[in-house]
Amino acid sequence: MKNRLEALRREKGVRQEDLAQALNVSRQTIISLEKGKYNPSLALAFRLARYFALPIEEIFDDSDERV
Amino acid sequence: MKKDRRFIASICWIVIGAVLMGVSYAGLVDEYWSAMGTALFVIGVIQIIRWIRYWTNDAYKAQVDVEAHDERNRFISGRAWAWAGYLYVLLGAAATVVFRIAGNEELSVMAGMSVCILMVLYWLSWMLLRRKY
Repeated sequence: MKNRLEALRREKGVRQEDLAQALNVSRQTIISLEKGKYNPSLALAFRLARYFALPIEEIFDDSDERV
Repeated sequence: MKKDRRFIASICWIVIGAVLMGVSYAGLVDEYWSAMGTALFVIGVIQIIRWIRYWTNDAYKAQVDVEAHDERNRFISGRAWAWAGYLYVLLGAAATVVFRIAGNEELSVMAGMSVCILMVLYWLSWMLLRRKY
């Protein structure tokens, strides 16, 4: 699933380490999320949405996976 | 609490390992148990060293806590177990045929049975998890 995490993080001026710490995940998880190699759980997606104060749809793009 | 229990378990490994080495040294049991005792003793000591580092080094503690609860790590662990299961079934099935062709019926049956046991465990897990979720 595509996402705008890297762009949003850079806009906010946050390092991967800081984002990882804020979300209680490892930095490697943030790297994988940004590369689109790993899809987050619903709980983590909500935490990301709250962190960036955006709806989940504005962070993740599920157009490739719609049935 | 859970971590305290694991620490106590580490001490138990050391004690059991030392006892096994002692009784083996005294000639009460054979060398197999001495090797088993040495392995348990070493595992226990390594675990204790890790616990001491965990409790005395805040940076290490934070790193371990994040790694332990990180959802990607859990996901990878689940996938790794699944792959291990698939590979075990494939290799076990291949071994069953190869041993049979090679004329070693005993090993062939053991390989086949181990695959069967794994499949039964998978089926039981499936039934239990289907009720849970």
